[in-house]
Amino acid sequence: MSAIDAKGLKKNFGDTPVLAGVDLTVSPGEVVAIIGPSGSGKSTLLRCLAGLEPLNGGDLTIAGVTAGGKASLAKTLNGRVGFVFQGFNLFPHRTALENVIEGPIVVRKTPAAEARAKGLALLEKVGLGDRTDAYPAALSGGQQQRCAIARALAMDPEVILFDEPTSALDPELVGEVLAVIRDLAVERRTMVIVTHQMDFARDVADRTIFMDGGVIVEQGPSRQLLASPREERTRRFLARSGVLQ
Amino acid sequence: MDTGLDLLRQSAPLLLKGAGYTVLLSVIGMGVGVVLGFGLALMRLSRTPLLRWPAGVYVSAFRGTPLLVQLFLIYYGLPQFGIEMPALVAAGIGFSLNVAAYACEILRSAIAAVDKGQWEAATVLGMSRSQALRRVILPQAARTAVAPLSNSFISLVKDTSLAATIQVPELFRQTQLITARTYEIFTMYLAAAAIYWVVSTVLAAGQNRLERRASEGRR
Repeated sequence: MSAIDAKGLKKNFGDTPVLAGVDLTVSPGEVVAIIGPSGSGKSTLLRCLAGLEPLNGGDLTIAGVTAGGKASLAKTLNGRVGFVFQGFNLFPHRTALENVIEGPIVVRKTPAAEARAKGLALLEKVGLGDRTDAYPAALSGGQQQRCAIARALAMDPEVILFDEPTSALDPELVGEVLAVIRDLAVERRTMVIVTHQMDFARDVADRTIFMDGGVIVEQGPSRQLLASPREERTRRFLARSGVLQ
Repeated sequence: MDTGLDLLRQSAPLLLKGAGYTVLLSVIGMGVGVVLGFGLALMRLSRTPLLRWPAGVYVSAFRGTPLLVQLFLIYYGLPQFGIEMPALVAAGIGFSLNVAAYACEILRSAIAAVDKGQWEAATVLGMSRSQALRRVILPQAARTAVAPLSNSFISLVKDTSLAATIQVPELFRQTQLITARTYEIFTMYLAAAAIYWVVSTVLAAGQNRLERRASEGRR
């Protein structure tokens, strides 16, 4: 069964169509990058997949849950789809460790000791083993984003969605966050990553999708799509991004 | 001047008793008012118009009419409909209802001021709306709300003097009674002002401590 199975997804903001019928299938263990100009609908697609935006049309099944049930998609998913935000969105009143164990304790009712042990291991994994008691305000952007990734991992997600995870970071902090995501790709985690980092897409993603105007214009194996796109629109975008001459 | 000091000494028990009522009314008004205000704030933030607009009308009515008129309506007006109560109870109800309107707006705006991304982060973890509110949003909103709520509290301490008009024997009323007897008008009202000032200052110090506690560990 697919980890994500979406057909004809539609989303409007007022009268403006943002997603104009998007089909997307992602297999378990697959890493997919989504690229495209701003306003192309890639972040909105990701937010719809996580249940952060209600759909205006189409069929969606993700992590075994079909959208459109009585409860909201996000509630039914119960944290099984992780989401990493561009702006981190850590809880500022909680320490790094408290951020990571909040979901397991509140939503999954995991015993505190068990959640703590797992939380510490996850922070260790993302390289924050020595900052577990720091408040987000005391962490750098890169550290905050790594903590946010640990927070998503704490829910044992079947799919992790990354919404431009490095766009809010100073250039010298981008690498440490990408390294963590790269490790997750090596573990064959199912991930969809909206990104402007073309090199990263090429190296880490099995498949890259180019979106423009609320539709998927073209997709294919990352190397192939980034080196020799079929569509003129893709070519122009990649040229503007400095990937193609 | 000698007589002034003597008078103050003699009046002290009455003034302090009055101050006791002042503090009592302030604490009740604030305590009940904030609880009611919180309920109203949740109504105003609700997705259901049926909850939203009664709360809106309430806030508009209680903020848009004088507290003095509200107290008169409750204490002198309601008996016409057979609803009678002691002055102290009427004042407690009046202050609570009035504070509720202001507290509602303070809490509502404090909740609304929490970044939308905080709701979203809670949502993708699988939290319900009420879990997100309790665990994520309110602790952050509380920090924003402490200062304006303390402001309301200090205003309330002084506003309780209006209870004198419905015969509650609080500080201002006691002072009025003493001056009517002794004609030491300036001394007595100055003494009353000093007591209000002390109470407000103590409360302001408490506010500072609360604010520091609320922002612990952050920035």
